[in-house]
This record gives sequence, structure tokens and C-alpha cells, in this order.
Amino acid sequence: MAMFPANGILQSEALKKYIYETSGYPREHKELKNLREATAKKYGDKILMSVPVDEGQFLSLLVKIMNAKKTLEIGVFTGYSLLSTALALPDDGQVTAIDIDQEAYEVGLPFIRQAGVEHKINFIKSDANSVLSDMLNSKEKQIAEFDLAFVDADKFSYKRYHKQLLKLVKVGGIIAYDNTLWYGFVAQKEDALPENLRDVTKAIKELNHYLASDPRVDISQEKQQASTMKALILVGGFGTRLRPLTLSVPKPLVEFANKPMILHQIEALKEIGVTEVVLAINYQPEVMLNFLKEFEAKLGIKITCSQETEPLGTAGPLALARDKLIDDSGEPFFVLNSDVISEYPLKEMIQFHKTHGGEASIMVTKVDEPSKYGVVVMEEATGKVERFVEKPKIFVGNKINAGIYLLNPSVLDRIELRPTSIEKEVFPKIAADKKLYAMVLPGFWMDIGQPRDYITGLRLYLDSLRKKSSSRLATGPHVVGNVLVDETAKIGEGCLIGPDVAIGPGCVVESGVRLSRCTVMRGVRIKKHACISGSIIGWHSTVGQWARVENMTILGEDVHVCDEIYSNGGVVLPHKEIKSSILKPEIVM
Amino acid sequence: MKALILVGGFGTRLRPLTLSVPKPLVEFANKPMILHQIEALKEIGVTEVVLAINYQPEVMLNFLKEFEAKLGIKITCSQETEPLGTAGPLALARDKLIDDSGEPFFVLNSDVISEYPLKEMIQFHKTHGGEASIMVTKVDEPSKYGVVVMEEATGEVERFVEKPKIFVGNKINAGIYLLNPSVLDRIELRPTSIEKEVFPKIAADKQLYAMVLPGFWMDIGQPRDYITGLRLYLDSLRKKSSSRLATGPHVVGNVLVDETAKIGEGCLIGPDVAIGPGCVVESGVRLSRCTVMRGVRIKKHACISSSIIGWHSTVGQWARVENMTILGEDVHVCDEIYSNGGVVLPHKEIKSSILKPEIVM
Repeated sequence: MAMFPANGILQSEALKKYIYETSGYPREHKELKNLREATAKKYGDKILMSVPVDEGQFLSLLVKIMNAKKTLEIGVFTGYSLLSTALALPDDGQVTAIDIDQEAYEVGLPFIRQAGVEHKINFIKSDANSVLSDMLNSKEKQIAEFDLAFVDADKFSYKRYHKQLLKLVKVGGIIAYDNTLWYGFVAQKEDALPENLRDVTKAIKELNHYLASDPRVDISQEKQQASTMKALILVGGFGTRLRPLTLSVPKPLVEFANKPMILHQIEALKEIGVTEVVLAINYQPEVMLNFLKEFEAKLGIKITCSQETEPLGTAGPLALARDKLIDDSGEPFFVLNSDVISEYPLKEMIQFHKTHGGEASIMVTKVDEPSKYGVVVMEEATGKVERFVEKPKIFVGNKINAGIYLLNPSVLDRIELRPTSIEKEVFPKIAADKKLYAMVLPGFWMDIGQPRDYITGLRLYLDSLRKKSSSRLATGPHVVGNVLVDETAKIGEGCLIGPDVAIGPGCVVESGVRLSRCTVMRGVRIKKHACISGSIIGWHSTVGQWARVENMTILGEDVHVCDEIYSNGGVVLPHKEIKSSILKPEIVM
Repeated sequence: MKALILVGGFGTRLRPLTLSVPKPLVEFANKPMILHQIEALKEIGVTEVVLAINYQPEVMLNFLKEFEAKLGIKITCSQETEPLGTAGPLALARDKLIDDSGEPFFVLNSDVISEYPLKEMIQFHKTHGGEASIMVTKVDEPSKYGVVVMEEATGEVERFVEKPKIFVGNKINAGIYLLNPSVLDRIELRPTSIEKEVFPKIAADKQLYAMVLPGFWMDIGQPRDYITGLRLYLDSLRKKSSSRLATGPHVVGNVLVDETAKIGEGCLIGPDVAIGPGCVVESGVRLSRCTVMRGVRIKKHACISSSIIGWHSTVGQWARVENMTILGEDVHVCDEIYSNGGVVLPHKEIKSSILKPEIVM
């Protein structure tokens, strides 16, 4: 068994969040919180240099258990661990804190003062090596005087500090070294590491080895949880089924319930601890990449694109993105289909996957007319998949592939880099090896890649929103059923909105308007007394006074329907004006 | 001397082609539409061309950089933030159009193709000494257009009549003007129609003269007229520089073939066909009255007439494509398919026949 077991998939962002929210933040001293927030504000991502709330608490506990009176801290940054220590020390306790960066210490100092513990702290602005040497050379009895030393500084120097600290810390005292597992990198092969991290990782590994073989100390090494789970979203091609909307914007960026389709999925992945999402695309990469830059920063998740030069089907893209999907952690990765919306019970899927121990898990969903789809035939009790049947003529089951997979890295060995279908070529093989399991998706499911299903999907989604966080839905005398209205949209008097309506940012709905079962995109103006149902109104379009728009009318971007016009299923391309009624469903170009 | 080309908006009439490329850059007879006009202007000594646009400026500007260098003429864009009609853009570009020389400037409509007798127009303008000259062209059905009523001898314009119910004349505005800088003082910076608001005033002041356009004229802003226009253009090319037209046993009538295109054995091409760069026409193919854009592959034994095949599309073996079929970019018509007037948006595959004219999205 390896000395450093791989991070399990349950030791995740979610667990960390649980710890912080249950016992971390609620017990965090007010000034520690203030210090933490001030650090985040000034240093942003560099807050990683500070210890997190649970580690501060652990340190504090150590100080108290040992009845420590004199402690040493090497590496202060803004002083979170220092303040934690100072708060735990008795009133006559002393912590000597050494760091070369005084400016950072001064970020935390006001909070240290406010906490009333400044008198316990002796801050020395210096490199630690010279301070420790001075202590050792000094005639004053500084030797073997510290109860506890906490080292959280530049890793190359740890080994050197150890020699000095062994003399400065009491027998029976504690020396604590932070970051000795270095985000898990110590467990990876050197050539798998990013170049800029190889030297420091090597230094830490040497330290660990050195400490482990030092007979003068007892050691205990603990790991901080960090998931590195990945996901691939199959974005695919031109989105022609969602034209005319996709003539203006690539499909994943078309909003659904006021949020770009792909954001629904990315957020669900982030919530369960996925740290990197790969988008498999083959169309308009520049538009996607711009969008992503914006969201990478906001969401705090890494998003990259894997671009197909030829269409690779539903499995080929996985082979193409191989290097991004697997690392040495051996964790499985998610694969999502970008057209699908559902409740995304990904945590449950991880549990299901761990329990059956097979190679691959897929979500299936129940449908009324399975003969139109690919049916998954499975053993009800275990979920083990027996086979797939495309458009079965006789009834074989009513569960179809929901387009959500959790796959072990070994699945990638089964996929060649060529146009491949995951349903027709890959999954059947895994099922034959009895390693494919299916979980029935709880809650709603819809493939919203075409207008009719998009509209139905909105109803299902809003139903689900009503159950989970109904405060997000609109209320009021003008609202019927489930309605989502962006806070920047304006609705006039005497309107009746709903059921199953989504109104996007900056929309203006004038008075006396009736909207039902429709989506109104950003910047649309609906003029007085208009009546819209079962339709999608594209960005920045206008619908005229007394206009009647119904029966799967889809207006592209910047379409202007004149007053009193009737549209029965008109599908209108961008930048058009509709001056005469559309009496039966047709495309207007 | 300066010129303004009214490029305008979204080019919706030329969809699906304009879903891939802004209209002025759609090729006509193997050359971007706007290049036909820019070259004609350069030839008579225009040094700066202003494009009045209101859509996709980045695409236009990239194209222009490339051509500015090649052509040795300065090309700039004047971008409308709201549609300014047919006269407003002139006011918007005022500073670019006039300098201290007091020379008149040309205004062209980007959808128009003709022989561009611009030198003759300059001469005409100097001779009559009026404030503005316009080209007019003879048509058979003037009642569909705006008719220009003029004095035959001098060309002095009396008035404009929109869609006349009785016969008042058979000359219509051809969309080519030569204007003195003083005309700009008559135009406010707001949506304005040059035909309805500006020219009638100049005509009332007896300062507007019309010259009958010699040679062909066509507004190629929609597919039907684009196809007719190609016939007229190639006719004219036959007279002027017939060496540019293709010859050989497989050629009938006027046919333009890019030098990088390949044509297989046993084909019959023409009349009135343009085949763009990099195209591959396999053996036994029949093409008539059609345009084949860059990078298209027409497979064996296919038969195409009166249609436009968009960039990088393919037409399958034994496919029959006719009657104003317009294929957008990257459209693939499968073997043995029939298309009767199908209008197909980009990135589509046609796996079943289109029996009557319809849009495939």
C-alpha cells in the first residue's frame, strides 16, 4: 500500500465546506474572521498562503492541550495562525513570530490589536535563519525553551530549520511543519508535475524522508482534503436544431431560465467539487473562450476547451481530451451532454459509483415512449446494465440514456481517437464485461436542444425550482404559476404572466401583456396588450401592440413584430421586421 | 477624388449566403461584390473609398486591410449607429468626402453591378455644370420602381415618380451618383432618403442631371437577380476581355472558371456559370446558369442549374439541383438527391429530396 494513499473522491470540496460551515466558521473568533476577509481582499488567490479555519482551530487546540506558554512561529503572512495561537495562549504567554514580510503582517495587525492579544506577540522582521542562529548563539537561555514551533514558510529551508528547532524546542514539545503533502504533488511522478513545482516538491519529499528517519522525533503526517475531480461536457457542433437562436450565439451560451445552458452544468459540477471542466467543442471556439474567461474568474473553477478538428462523435472527444481528464489520482471523471437539463444529483452518483465498484456509471431516465430512443436494459436491483437496444420495436424497458456518465480513467483505454459512438461502441463493451451500472435519475430530465423541448423543459425546471428555492420565483397579483423574472426586467400594470415563463435581464413588458409558457430573452420589449404563448422571443426583439404570438413562434435576435401582427409558429431569422401576419408555421428569412 | 459606397445592413435578402459573410464580401463572378466597385473607382483615379456600413464592421475591416495593400487605394469605414437610410450616411461621412479641392465625389450602391462608365459620368457632370448627376437605366417594367422623368436632350431631371400607375418614362435610378460637395449641405444627419427627400429638391432647383447607363445593370441583392446578373456580366466580359472566359469542348456559352478549380472529363459547363477557387467538378457533371463558390465539390454525374452553391459545400453523385436552390456554407447534398428551390442554411446535410421550394434550417 502506498505511503501516500490517493485522495479519495469523497474527500472533496463538499466535505471541506461541510467542516468549515459546521465547526469552522461558527466557532471562528470575530477578529480571525476579519483578518481572513482582509487577507482575501488584499491578496485574492494568495489567501492559500494563509492557514484555513480548521487548521487554525487545530493549532489552537494544540496550544491549549500542551498548556504552551512560549511558542515560535516561522512564516507569518497576514497572521491568521499567529492570531489563532495568540488567542489560545494564556495571558502571560508569548509567541515569537518571524517573517521577512512586514507589510503582510500589518494587514492582520489591526485585528490582533482589536483582539487584545498584541502584548503576547513578539514580531521579528527578518529571515528566520538568522534569527534562529542568533537564538542559538545567544548567551541568554533561549535554548530549548519553546513548547511549540509552527513552521509555515519557504519549503526549501524546512530541513535547515529542523536542525535548529530541535535545539530550541523543549523535549516533549511539538514542532509542526505545514504543507508537507504539498497538495498531493508528493505522491506524483516528477515528470507529471508542472515544471515550476518540481524543485519544491523534491525538497519537501526530502524533508519528509528526513523527518521520518529522525529517531529523535515521533511523527504524525496528516492530509488536508483536496479533490481534483474533472469533468468533460460534450458541447459538439452547430446547434442547428436551436436555430434561429444559434445563429447569434453558440448553443451552450443560449440562456435557459435566464442562465446560459452550460452554466447550469458547470455550477452543478463545481458544487460537488470538480476543479476542472473540459468543453469538447468543434465550432466557434473564440466565442466560447471569451465567455469562459469571464466565468472561470467568477466561478473559481478551471475551464478549458478541447477542440475537434473533425467531428468525433460521442466518445472520440474523450480520447482527444485524455490528458486533461486523468491525473495520477485515479479519480473517475464526469461526462455530461450539454443539451441536457436535470437536477444533477452528482453527489449521489459518486456514491453509487463507489458502491458498485464497476468501471462506469450512467444515469438513465424513465420515458413514456421508449421506442423513439436507445433503451438501457438493466437489472433493477443492482443497476447492472445488460445491454442497449436502439429504438426497440417490442417493449424491453422504459429507461433511456440520460447523457450523464461517471467513468473510471480505464474507460479511456477503450476509446480510440476517431469518430466513435459511446452508446453503440463503448458502453456495450463495458456492459459485456459486467462493469457498467445505471442509476435512475431522480427528478426531471429534458434534452433542450430543440425549441419544443426547450419550452417543456422550462416548465419542468421551474417546477423543480418551486420545490427547492421558491423565493427565486416571482410573486404578485400579476403572476400565475411558476415565473422567473430577472431583477432588471420591468413589468407594467395589468399584465398576467405565467405559468412557465422566464423573463431575462433588461426586458420591458408594457402594460396589459399576457405571457404564458414562453421565454423572453435579454433586452426584449413587449408592447401593450400583446399576447404571447408557447414561444421564444430572442434577444433585443420587440413584439408590437396587440400582437398575438403563439404555437412555437421562435424569434431570433433583433426581430421586430409590428403592431397587431399574428404569428402562428413563425420561425424568424435575426434582424427582420414582421410587417404581415404569419398564418401557418413557416421560416422567415 | 473620393467615393462613398452604401453597404448598409444585414443583407437578409441574400441569406443564407450572408449568414456566413457580410454581403459586400459575397463573391460575384469570383470576386467579392464590393471589389467590382472598388476596382472601377480606382481605375478612374479615386484615391479614397468610404464604406458606409452598419453591420459586422470587424469582418469588413479585416477584408479591407488585405485589399488596401493590394489595390493601393485608401479604404475606410463609416459606421452608422442607427440606420440612416440612403442619404444620412453621406452626412455622417462628410469629413471624409470633401476636402479643399472642391471636387465632386461618387456615391455607389453596393448591390449594383454594371459596366461602371465612371469616366464618361465625370465628363457628363462637367459639361452640364449642375450640382448632381445620377445614372439611370432603362427597364421593361418601370411601374415596379422609382421612375426618373427627364428632358431627353440635356438629361435635366424634372421629377421622380415612385411606382407610376401610368407611363411617365422607363428610366429608373441606377444607384450611381456623382455629387458636388454642396449636396452635403442639403443632407441632415438623420435617417433620410436620397430619392424621396434630397434629389427632388435638387431637381426643383434644376441642378440635377441624369445620364443613361450604357451596358448592363442589375441589383444583385437577391438570388434571382444575382443569377440573371451573372448572365449580363459574363456577356459583357465576352465583349471586353473574352480571354478570361473558359474555352474547350466541355464549355457552352460564357463560363468563368478560377485557375485553381478542377473540371473532370465528360462535363458540360455553361452557359452563364462561375466556378470559384479550389472547386472540384468531377466527371460527367452538367452545370448551367449557376455559381459555384470557393471550395465546392460537385460529384460525378450531378446536374445543377439556376442555383448558387455556397462555399465548401458538396453536391452528391447524380444529384439534381435546380430552380433557385441556394446552398449556404458547408452544406452537403447526398447522392441522388433532388432539390427544387431548396434554400439551405449553413452546416446542414440534405439526406432527403426537397420537392418544392422551401427553407431548410
